[in-house]
Amino acid sequence: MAPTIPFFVLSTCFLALPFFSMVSRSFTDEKTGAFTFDNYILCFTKNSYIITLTNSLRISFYAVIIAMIIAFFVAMAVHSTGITTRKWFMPIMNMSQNFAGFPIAFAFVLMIGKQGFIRLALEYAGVTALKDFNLLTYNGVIPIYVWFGIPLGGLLLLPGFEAVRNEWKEASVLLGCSSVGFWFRIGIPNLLPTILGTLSIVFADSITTYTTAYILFGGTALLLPIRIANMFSGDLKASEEVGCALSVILILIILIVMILCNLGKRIITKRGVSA
Amino acid sequence: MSYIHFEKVNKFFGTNHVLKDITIDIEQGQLVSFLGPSGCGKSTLLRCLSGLERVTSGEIYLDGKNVTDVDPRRRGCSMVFQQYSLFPNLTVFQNVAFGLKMQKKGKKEIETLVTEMLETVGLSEKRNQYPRALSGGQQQRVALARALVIRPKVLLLDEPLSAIDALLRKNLQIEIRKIQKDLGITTLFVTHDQDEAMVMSDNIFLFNTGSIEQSGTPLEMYTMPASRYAASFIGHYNIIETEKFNARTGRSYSCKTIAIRPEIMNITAKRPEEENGLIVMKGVIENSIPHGNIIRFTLNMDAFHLDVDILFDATKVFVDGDTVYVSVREEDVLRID
Amino acid sequence: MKKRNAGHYIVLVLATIILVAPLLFVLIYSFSNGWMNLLPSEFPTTQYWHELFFDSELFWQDVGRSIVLCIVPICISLLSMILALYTIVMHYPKLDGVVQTISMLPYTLRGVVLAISVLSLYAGKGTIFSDRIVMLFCVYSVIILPFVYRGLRNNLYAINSKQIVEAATLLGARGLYTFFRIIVPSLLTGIAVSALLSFGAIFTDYSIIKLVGGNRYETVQSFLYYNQKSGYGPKTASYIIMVFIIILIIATLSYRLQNRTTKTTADGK
Repeated sequence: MAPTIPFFVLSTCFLALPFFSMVSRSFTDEKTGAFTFDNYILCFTKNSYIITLTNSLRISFYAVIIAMIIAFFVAMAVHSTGITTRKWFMPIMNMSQNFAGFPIAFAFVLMIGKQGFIRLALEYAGVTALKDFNLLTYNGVIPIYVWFGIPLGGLLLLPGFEAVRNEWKEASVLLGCSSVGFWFRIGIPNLLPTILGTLSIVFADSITTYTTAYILFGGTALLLPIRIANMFSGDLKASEEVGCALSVILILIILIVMILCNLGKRIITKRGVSA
Repeated sequence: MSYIHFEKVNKFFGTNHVLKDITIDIEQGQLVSFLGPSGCGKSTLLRCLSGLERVTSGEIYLDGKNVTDVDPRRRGCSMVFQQYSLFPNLTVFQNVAFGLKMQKKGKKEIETLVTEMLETVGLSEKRNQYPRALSGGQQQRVALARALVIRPKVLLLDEPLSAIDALLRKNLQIEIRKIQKDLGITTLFVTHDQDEAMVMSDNIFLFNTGSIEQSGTPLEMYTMPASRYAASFIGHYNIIETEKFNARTGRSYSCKTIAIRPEIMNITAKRPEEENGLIVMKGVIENSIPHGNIIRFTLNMDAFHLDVDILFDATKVFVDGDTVYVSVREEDVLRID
Repeated sequence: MKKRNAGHYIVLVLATIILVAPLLFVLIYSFSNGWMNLLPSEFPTTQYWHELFFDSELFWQDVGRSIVLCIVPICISLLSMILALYTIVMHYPKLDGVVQTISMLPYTLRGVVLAISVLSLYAGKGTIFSDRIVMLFCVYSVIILPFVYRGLRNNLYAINSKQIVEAATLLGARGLYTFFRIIVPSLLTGIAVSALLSFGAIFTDYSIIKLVGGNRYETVQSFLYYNQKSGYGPKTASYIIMVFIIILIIATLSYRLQNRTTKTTADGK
């Protein structure tokens, strides 16, 4: 048993203990040290916290939905066009994943920021589609969140598509089913477990995004990860206890999405589809 | 015109010529096997008939109509695949009902037809199970039911039994043949297993790299292989170069190759009496393997080896190293060019 | 069949444009002198790239610091994981699930949350864990556990380590000898893949270095942050591309190695 000690010490001291201490601190009064729900009540009553929560949820919600739809069709296209596509397209997806963080924020400011050249180009051309668009708002950043959701979602969905067997498609064609009909009756039902699993990961990734948001909005942004970080360091250092409560709420949000997805997965898996 | 007719069908995959000018006829109600090693084009021809593959050139007629360019959905072909072709998210019942649903049949009609078909394949009690819960053999029977329930013009079986273990395979062969005969449904069966083709078919087409090497009833194919390739694929023919055979037996055949079935020869310890038309050779037993009720002896004839099958008989137990005499009638020696 | 594929190719082309465009524009920008018009001005100029290679000591120092910062946690994490997994595979196979659950936890806890929970427990308490560098190393070691676990576990099972050790024992080898002479060498690809994946994760991290390290320890990511904060010039673009190239080299290496592992495993079957 002795050789396992380093692993368990590491995971206890830097995973379990911090986690439990954070949970317990989230129930502790900052001044008296007594047990309290006040930190949570504050999170759900104080306006700026409510806005923070809804901002984060809204951005991630829209970004994940849009990214998943795009990723679905991308994965489908990669799957349907065969092995050569995989060879040139997979590296692109892998590569773009490594562009997240500062680089992608920089690129988007360059393209569609206030002075972005795409915006300028459109103005020259007389297209006004981007006129009222402002990248540096809580809705304006959604395209960036979508952007890094696409390769992540695509890479995770692809194995699911690979599991949709060619024989199913051929059998359904011979039995008189159209291609669209096939995807609705056979393809998507069999992909659902993968779709749900991917969704929960893309969501967790999106709602915990820190670096991109920080460079665009700075430390005062009303977004969960930045708000949490700010409670402990930075310009607006505030109550660490409330920060703990916000962290627990963030974890709970991720867990709820995950549990819902797993529940859905289990129901579907019971009905014959393999996970 | 016959029920199914292929007219000069050619198929290329890139530069690979997989079907070469195939012209064949198949009669209604028959079970016909496409036999050959993997990569010989037999599956491709089947898929061309179903419409899953387009032919590069040539024409296909089914039931008097040219179906070469007809959508696979409307050709009236059903197919049973090698494996994994059941829809995992649908129950056995829903799987079988799928094709009928596509034909927009009424609920009641679907219920009756599917129930009847599940009875035919003996899976009535599994109707609400998902494919995952079934064994490989059961899954293939569901696949068969799904293909048959829409009353196709042709049933296509693409090596449906090759993923199933030997004992079960024998039973399913008989079962499929029986259902096919009862329903009188024209069936094309792709296999690489000559025994399977023998057991099941009315007619066999033997494929060789994109062409038909030989066709005929199982008996014709077995007793009269027309080429060295056919002889090596069907039965367990001993294939001997004529020169070596002539040298050993003192005959003067002029063909290229000699083919002799192993079970048609006899082995004796003493030289049998001279007789008109009887060829006798001396050889040494090199190996013997029991195969159920027969024993296969491998004999060393110096220039070649000979496999001889003998019904198990206590008076004919030879051991390795014994010198024996092999005799065979002249008319049983096939001369192939 | 051809007709239906046309739609798929359109999707692929659009996706490629969307995914590659940001990268491409940053690259073009780094060779220009500004992009305030339809076209980048003074394109192409290698001025900023020249500066980057010959006049950016600070940048390269930060790259070096980042690399150092990667190595220690990777060693800690790998070593503790190898020891734990090896013991468990050999003697307590039932515990595999426990190790897996623990190793996957950082996926749920994520960088920011983990960093602040560690901060809130140890910061300013005067224990050994309160030292910011120690804290940084340990948090990173935990963050990369999922990569390390995956890489090693598959490899450990693929080489059938239990039977190998049993065979070695019957041939008269002692435990430690077998471990260092047979097990560890055959785990080398797994170790390399884990290390490279972890390297990518730490090298690109900014949230943890910002929270735990504060301003005490500058890495290449904080360098990028200050550069970007001071303006979106072509110079910053060249830094971004350079960092990206470094990550790309590492990612390609790990991708190659992974492919090699799956190939050898498949052959083994």
